[in-house]
Amino acid sequence: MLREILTIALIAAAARAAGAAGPVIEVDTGGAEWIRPEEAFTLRLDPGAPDDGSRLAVVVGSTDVTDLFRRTPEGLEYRTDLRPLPPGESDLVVYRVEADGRWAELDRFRLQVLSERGFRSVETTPRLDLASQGLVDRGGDQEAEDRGLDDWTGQAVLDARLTRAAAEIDVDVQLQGATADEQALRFSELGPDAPSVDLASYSLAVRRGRGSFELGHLAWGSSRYLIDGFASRGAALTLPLWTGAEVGVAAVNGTSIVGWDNTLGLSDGDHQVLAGRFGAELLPARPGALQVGVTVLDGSLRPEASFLQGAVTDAEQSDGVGVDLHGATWAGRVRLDASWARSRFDNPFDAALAQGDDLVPVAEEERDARALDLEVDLLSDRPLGERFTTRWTLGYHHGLVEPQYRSVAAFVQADRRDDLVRLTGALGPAAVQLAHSRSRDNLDDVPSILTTRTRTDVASLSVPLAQLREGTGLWWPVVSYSWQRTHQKGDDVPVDSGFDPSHVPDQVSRSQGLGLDWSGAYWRFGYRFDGSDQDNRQPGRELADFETRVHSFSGGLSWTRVDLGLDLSEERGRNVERGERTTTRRYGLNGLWRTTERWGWNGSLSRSRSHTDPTAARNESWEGDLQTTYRLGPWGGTHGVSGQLYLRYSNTRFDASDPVFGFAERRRAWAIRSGLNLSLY
Amino acid sequence: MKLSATRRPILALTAWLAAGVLPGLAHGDISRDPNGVNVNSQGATTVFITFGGLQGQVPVEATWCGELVPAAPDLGMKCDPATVFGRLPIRFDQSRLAAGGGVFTDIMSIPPSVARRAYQAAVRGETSSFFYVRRFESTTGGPDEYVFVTCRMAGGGARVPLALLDVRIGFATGDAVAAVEVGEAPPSFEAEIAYNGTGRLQGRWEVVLPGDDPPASRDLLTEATLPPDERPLQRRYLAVERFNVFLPPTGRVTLTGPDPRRLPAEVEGLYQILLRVEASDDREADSNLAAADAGNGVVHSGAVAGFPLPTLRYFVGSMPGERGGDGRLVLLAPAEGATALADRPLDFSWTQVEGVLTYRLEIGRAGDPGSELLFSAVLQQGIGVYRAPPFVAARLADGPLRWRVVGVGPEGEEVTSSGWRTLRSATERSIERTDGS
Repeated sequence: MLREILTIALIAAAARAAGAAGPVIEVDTGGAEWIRPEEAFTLRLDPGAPDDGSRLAVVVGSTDVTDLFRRTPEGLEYRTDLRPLPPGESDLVVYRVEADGRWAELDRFRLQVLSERGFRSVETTPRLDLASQGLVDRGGDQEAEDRGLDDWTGQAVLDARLTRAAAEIDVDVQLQGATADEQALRFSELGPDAPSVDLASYSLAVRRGRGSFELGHLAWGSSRYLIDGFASRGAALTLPLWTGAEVGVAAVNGTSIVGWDNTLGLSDGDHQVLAGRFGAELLPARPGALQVGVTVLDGSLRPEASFLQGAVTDAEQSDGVGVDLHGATWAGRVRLDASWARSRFDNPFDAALAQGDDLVPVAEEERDARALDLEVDLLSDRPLGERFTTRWTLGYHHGLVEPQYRSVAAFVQADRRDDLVRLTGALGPAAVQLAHSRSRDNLDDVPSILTTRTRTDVASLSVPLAQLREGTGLWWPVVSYSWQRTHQKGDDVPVDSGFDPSHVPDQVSRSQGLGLDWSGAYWRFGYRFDGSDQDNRQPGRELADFETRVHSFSGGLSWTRVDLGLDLSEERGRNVERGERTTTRRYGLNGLWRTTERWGWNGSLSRSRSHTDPTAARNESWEGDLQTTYRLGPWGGTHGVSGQLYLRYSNTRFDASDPVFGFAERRRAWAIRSGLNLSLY
Repeated sequence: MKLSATRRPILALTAWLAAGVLPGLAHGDISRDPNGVNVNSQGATTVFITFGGLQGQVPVEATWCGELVPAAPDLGMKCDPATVFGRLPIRFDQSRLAAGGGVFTDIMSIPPSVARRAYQAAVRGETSSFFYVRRFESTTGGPDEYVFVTCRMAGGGARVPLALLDVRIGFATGDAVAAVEVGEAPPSFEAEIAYNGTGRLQGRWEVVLPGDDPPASRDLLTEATLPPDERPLQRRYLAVERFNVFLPPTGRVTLTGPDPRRLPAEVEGLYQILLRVEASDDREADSNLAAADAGNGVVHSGAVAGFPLPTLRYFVGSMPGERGGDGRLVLLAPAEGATALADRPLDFSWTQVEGVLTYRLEIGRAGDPGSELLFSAVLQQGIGVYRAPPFVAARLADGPLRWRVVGVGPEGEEVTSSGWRTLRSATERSIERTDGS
């Protein structure tokens, strides 16, 4: 094997833990600044280190290699005969391990290595899973057809990571299969025409230094109002230019998709987003101090939703430019984020909307959006007593999105100006937040459109009481509380609009939540309260108010072989205007018993009951489920086969009636199902 | 065709007639409720509407327009063909005609482009309100009847019916379908929801288990999208958790899913996570059946949606425990699926195998096989036990871990390996829910 030894550099870093007592450590590389992977080196220790039962531990990267050192008169010598130093760039950290098991970092050094030609490492994780479901028996009121034992689902997964010198290649592929049409991945889109075996996702990523190329499923963009983390299928390339500067381009499908069709995501020009970004550090000597990014975008969408999305969609097209600025100064105590974008938007012809009519055309709009976020650390880790510190940050946000603003690759609410002031702080382990915001719409001041103004106040607090106490605090919960008040009020009745005073909102809503959480070695318990009130004040709606109170309890026990969980909740809602009160209660119990290494049981039982007074509407449901599983295999070694058998009994009951609407529904169903599952890996 | 500002007086008169006078003069027998709603001027709006009093009539198309004209010789007011903003696309048509034929439940989903047309007309000085006109065709040879609902342009907050406009469900990992190993928790997930109005968002997270009959399209609609007598017909699946959160009139909420450890994953196969949204009590979304001549009672339709909600899938496969091992190297402790405390010593032990020079203990995140290891340790032959540093045990607080041991030979080759075992925390806390505030 042709091996090109590059270098390993050990660079002492100034990372000695403040105040940590321990032996003085030096790295002896025989005088060489660079050492070879097979070359031993020594950690020289202060011979006067106390013998107090503690020991040293050495971690390289994320690997504990302490056992690979042998003690010599000079200190600790690394035995490369047992394991050569790992290639790549990593930290070498020396810890003192106290007699009580605590680890304290003593010193830290930097390792840099480039190793051999060819792939430095190849990691692959192929896997094929097949699961059969069969119906043994069923009864009650079943609508669907029974399915036989030939009903299979499956998945194939391949994860591979190849590393070569400074380059890294990641490949992920996932396929889904089903023999029943309605289980097919794209059944909701294609119906019976959906392929039985379909492509759920794939990605190929090649990275070298700061450059990268991605193909398949990816997320792209960092322009708040233009394209921000846009997840879809396509291709993206990032190239470094000079220190702190890079340029990237991406071409992706208009929505996130699955399936074999449009494999690259680039086959439909009318449903595609093209974007580019240039980013640079304006102060390269101080990375992060001032960064600028310029993004351009051109895209169009058919009226389609993403695979995991339901939405009221449209045919859209837009192009635009955005500038984002990020800065931090004074040791990061003042931080600034600013965004501006201009987008030109239009709705192309949509045959499904026109349906043969001549529609009033949409005028192309070119609109702007901007935002400014400023944060100032008023106090930064200021000591608070002997055990805690405190820190406080004041933040301001301004956002303005003009009416009709829209970008095909950003999720933005148009016609809105927001101003928010926020104070966040920490008092030891307790976290506090206070915020006030104001917003308004109808920024074009169109006289026939309603103008609405919103004021919101928010307060929240989280206190882990146990951490406030010294010693154990098993019975002290984590307490969290939040409160919010929103007042939304319309201006005067718009002219020539069809409005009358009762149509203009004037509503105050309040909500609050309280959470208490306890946990011990084998148990946990939580209580949560949520409440909200809506107070409508406009003429004709003075009594259209609502109150809701929700109490919920949850608990769990966990032993080596047994898990138990319990959930209780009660929801009470009151419609003041109609004098209706609705109460919903739910009780849930679930458990898991790992009888042996191969055999296990698990089940759940829940009851939900809801009734409304005085309409006497009610519904009640029972759900019970018990299943047992038995593990088969594995057969083979690193690559082999394993399996699983299962048997499941389920029983559901549902009753619903409403005298006002005159229906009474009653359903009973039970089923016994079994299955054989196989996994090839 | 552009609307002209010179037509403004005519338009105003038309609107006045449509809103107040003509309904009493030129209508047929069909009534509706609500007969007017506030809508979002900058985006989509969805409204539950009941039409009653149908007599041998069936609904046909629905059209939005800026002006109405008399439909004579048919009944009612119909759209002025010169001011049509669009027709209800079939993809949003969730309407239902009752079995008796006398009541028609319509879900009006206004696409953003229709609101945009109306907004641009208002900017040009025309009246801002526009109309949704549903045509009903007689099955007995009688005249067609046109029934309209007035749409008043406002913001999307209070006084606009509570409706879901955009629902995106996803795993935190971004996977379209999550691959999970038996006994491991799927990735955390959430629903990002854009909505109009304000009120309570209530319902259940349910899971379709392997072998369950899959949900039909009706099961994927929010309850408020259905007429009251069809709501109890929605099929129910294993309920994992209820949610009931307040939506302020600000248009966005992120609904965090239940603790993923509560999702079933003991049986291999395909699972589907359903977001089941129940109808909530929202005054603006009410539909009064008596006012629509469709019976008695008020239908509460808060959280209506003009589309089926997406489902999230995860596939449980492979086997935990000794999967992948060759049987020569046996893990001793902790046991498969054991729980441990994040603040207690975490000891691992295994058997020794001849021909191995060093053992590599690998610890990674359970449920994410492709991810990098969190920690590893290399030990010489003859030891077979390792106590992990406290910061490794602390990682249990972030979720279950998995671990295995690999035997490495003198040339660096892998001589043997154990299978993976799962290790869980005994002190895991429940995931807090985000209520969008």
